[in-house]
Amino acid sequence: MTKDKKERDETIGQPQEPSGLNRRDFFKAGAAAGVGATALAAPLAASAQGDGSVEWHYDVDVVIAGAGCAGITAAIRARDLGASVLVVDQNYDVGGRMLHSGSYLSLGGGDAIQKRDMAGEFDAEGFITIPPLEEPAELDDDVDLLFTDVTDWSIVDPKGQSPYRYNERELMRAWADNCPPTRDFLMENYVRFTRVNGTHGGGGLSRARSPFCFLMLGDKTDIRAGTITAEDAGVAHPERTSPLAPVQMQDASALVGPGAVRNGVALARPLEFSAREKGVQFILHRKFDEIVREQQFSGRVLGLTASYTPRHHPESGELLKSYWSDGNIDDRRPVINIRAKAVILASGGHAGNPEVRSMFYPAMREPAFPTSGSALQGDGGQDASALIAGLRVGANMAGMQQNLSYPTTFHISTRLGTRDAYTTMMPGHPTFAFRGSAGINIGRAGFEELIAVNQVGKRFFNEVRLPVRPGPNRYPGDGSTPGQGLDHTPVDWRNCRHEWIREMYTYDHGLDAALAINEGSQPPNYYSGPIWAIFDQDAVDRNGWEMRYPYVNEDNGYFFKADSISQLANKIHAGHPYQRVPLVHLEDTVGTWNGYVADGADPDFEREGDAPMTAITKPPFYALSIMAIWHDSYGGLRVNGRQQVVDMKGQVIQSLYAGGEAVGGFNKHGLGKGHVHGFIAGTQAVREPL
Amino acid sequence: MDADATVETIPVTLSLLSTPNPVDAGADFTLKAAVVCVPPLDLCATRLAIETSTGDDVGELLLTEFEEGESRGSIRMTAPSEPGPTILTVRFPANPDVGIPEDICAEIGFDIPAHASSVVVWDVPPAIEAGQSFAIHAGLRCSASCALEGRLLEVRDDQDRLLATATTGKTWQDTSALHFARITLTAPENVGNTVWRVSAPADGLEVPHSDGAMTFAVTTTLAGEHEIRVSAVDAKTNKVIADALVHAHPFRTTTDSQGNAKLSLPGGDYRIMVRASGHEPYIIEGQVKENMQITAILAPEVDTTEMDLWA
Repeated sequence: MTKDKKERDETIGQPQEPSGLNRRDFFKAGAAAGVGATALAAPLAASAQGDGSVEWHYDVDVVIAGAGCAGITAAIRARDLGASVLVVDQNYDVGGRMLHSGSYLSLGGGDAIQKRDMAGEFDAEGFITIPPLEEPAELDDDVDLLFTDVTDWSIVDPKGQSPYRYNERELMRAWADNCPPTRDFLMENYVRFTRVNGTHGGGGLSRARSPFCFLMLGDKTDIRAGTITAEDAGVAHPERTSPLAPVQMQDASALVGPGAVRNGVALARPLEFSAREKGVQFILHRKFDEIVREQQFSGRVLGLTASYTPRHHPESGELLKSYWSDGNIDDRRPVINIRAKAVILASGGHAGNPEVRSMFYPAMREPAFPTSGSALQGDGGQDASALIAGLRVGANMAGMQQNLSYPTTFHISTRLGTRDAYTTMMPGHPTFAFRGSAGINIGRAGFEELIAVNQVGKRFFNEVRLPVRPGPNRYPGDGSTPGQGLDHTPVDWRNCRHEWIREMYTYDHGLDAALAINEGSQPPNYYSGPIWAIFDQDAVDRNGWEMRYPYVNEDNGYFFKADSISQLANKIHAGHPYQRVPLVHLEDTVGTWNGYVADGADPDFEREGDAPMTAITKPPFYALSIMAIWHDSYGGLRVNGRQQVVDMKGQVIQSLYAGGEAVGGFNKHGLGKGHVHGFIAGTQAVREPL
Repeated sequence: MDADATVETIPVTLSLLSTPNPVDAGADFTLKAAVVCVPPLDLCATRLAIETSTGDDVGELLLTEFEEGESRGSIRMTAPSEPGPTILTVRFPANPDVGIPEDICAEIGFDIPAHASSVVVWDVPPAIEAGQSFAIHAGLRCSASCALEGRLLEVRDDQDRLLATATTGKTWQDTSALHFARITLTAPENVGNTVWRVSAPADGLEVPHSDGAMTFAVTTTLAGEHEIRVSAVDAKTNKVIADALVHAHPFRTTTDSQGNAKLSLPGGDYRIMVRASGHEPYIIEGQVKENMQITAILAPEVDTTEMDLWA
């Protein structure tokens, strides 16, 4: 505790009461009169700097913004080391992106799971019953090799980009050093790992480093015992999941043995369970806004401010409630100020903030394309809050250009007719209503059955090639992924000789055509507008697409069915939240296309050579949204090897830490980055002086 | 808190927006509402009544989102079918407990145009032997879903010569208001493509409608000489593939439940394509000058895996 604290609550982590009211009365008054509730909150302007005018509402050792993979790991780690920990998250539940992930958690450096599999051993609980999936040579790893791999200048991918070249060396060294202890830490907190099976993006080329996380199906859900019921896992019914598992868990028998299921639920829920068990506290529905520093650009960080951002069910209007509530603090004041010895920013990246992400790709300013997992996280997810707040107190940025150096950072989804096209979430989870439908995954081949039109109803690219992603990386001497006979030489100039890159280059640019400016856009933003798949009943019949709930939903604004093309155009304009202009060309476009089909040639996009062209004539007619997805972000705040945020002069901003997607300089896809960052930040934060 | 305490009245603003506006008679539109209080209040779960100018309730708008100090909600509605101006009133209910002692109302106006008519033509054979008869389906739809049964459809060629007439009947399967007719026609004697037109005059209707029309392509060919038999097989499972599309422009058909299809083609050069859901297309090019048997082995589509995302 600092000496100049204005208001002090002796119970660490408990809310301080406004004078004259106990906490119960305060909320009662707040519920009865919104005026009173607002008047009692500290004004945001006064909280921007630590000039003594701040009214602190909470006082803890460590406050963490964000309850995802970096935040929850940091919270448990700091709590293990004796700190009082308070986590704020804009969502109604804990887990962030981690909860809807595939749980593919790439670490390495000779971590415990690599060693287990290398020795041909099994897990202590006896759940794993299959032999290792990787050869021992693929698992023989150490932190020096890992560090070399994740800073390898010579690697260039099939999109002609260099994923490792621009990584921050200090950050990568610390990450590599902390991979083995982070694996141990996760296992100590109820996380079970499958056999190692390859390596996740950005995790290095030389070795196999990534298992998934799993639970075993059982009669009851028991995190300590490692079991989950089929109902909770979302596998009891093909079209339903559960409040525990936003995304139905996947069969992991090939990675573990019979009865195993895997995905982010097997990672996020155990960590959340452990955090709550150990006394970590949470304030949910609360977006982190500002960092409080002694002076705006100098001095140590004193705490943060966070505003009330309630998530309501879109059908009932009721406030959403987290799955578990132990340790939750229900605080609905508009703004609160939290004082802490250390602040850890783990509120994610900027893939959900169209204004921020547009600095890398201006066409992605289009808000019609949310980031992946937007239904679960809401509009406040991945909103660049850490970056924005960090810049306000003088933080530097790192690796911002690395957003463009991962082959699938943004891509066209083959899942149509849903706002959140990245996940496979089904009804049964409270946030499914934000998707409105599960969508129909038509695969790449399905694009042979449709035309894709832009916001004014015009075609813009060869539809057959529209969803094609860059192929897997290949390298001289083999090359594909670990476990597939890799014979890759790190830091070898031959990896990036231009003859090889020419041969490997496989990018089709359909996404870029989809995001192009067209005549429906207006200055200053020139929004790309939504994209639509247009097809007819014949296409539905040929492919067996199930045009029914939960796959499509005529009320969600991402699926339309009509008797005629003109009615279809009207429905799209009326029903889609980002269809700013009428699709004035749609009837002509369909007529022209049908003429091309009759002629057997597509002079606009030369599609006739790729697949049969089929007319769009048989009613009813369908329009399903095609979504461009910006999956995650790779640029962010600059941090050092202790996850301390560094300012524009290269100086550490004392008491301020960041991790996960909030951080730049590390072009690593997925969870491995966030968990290690959280582990380091949680360790370092408790060492902050009083 | 004292139950008898008086809560100070707070300023409230109710804003409305509809998309699109103007809107066709009977067509969909989205009505959005935003409620702003000073100071900001989360008013989610409040239901706003929507009334016509005659006081009829036509909907209820639920506030579901609190963001940037605004409580917001939206509802998809159907425009009135009567052409002319119309006004909707949206009513936010009084809530004295939070300082809103009276209902707050706002109005939004629409000018409904004449009903729009659309013609749809389908089931035109992709290739018709010159001079042979064939059948198509044609339908007529009103934007306000008027029952357009018994309406005249006219088919004209590219010289505007009347080729056939028909009268619409009941609605087509799985459509809401597309009244259709089956029309038998005779293909031109010359080989090639031509464009014909189906039109639906709007005269004689009680409510004003626009005329409707649609063109369609007619492709005439020589008679088939050679039989091409195609068997579609999955490369991975060796199982036959039903409902695969077999295409040799302009001829096309689909495989049966045994994975078999046949086309009767005039001699010539063709690109024969076979496509099926979840598979890469099978493509072969060459000259057809005799009967042929083709086994099209289709490779299953391989999706990008998490391991493929490896960089």
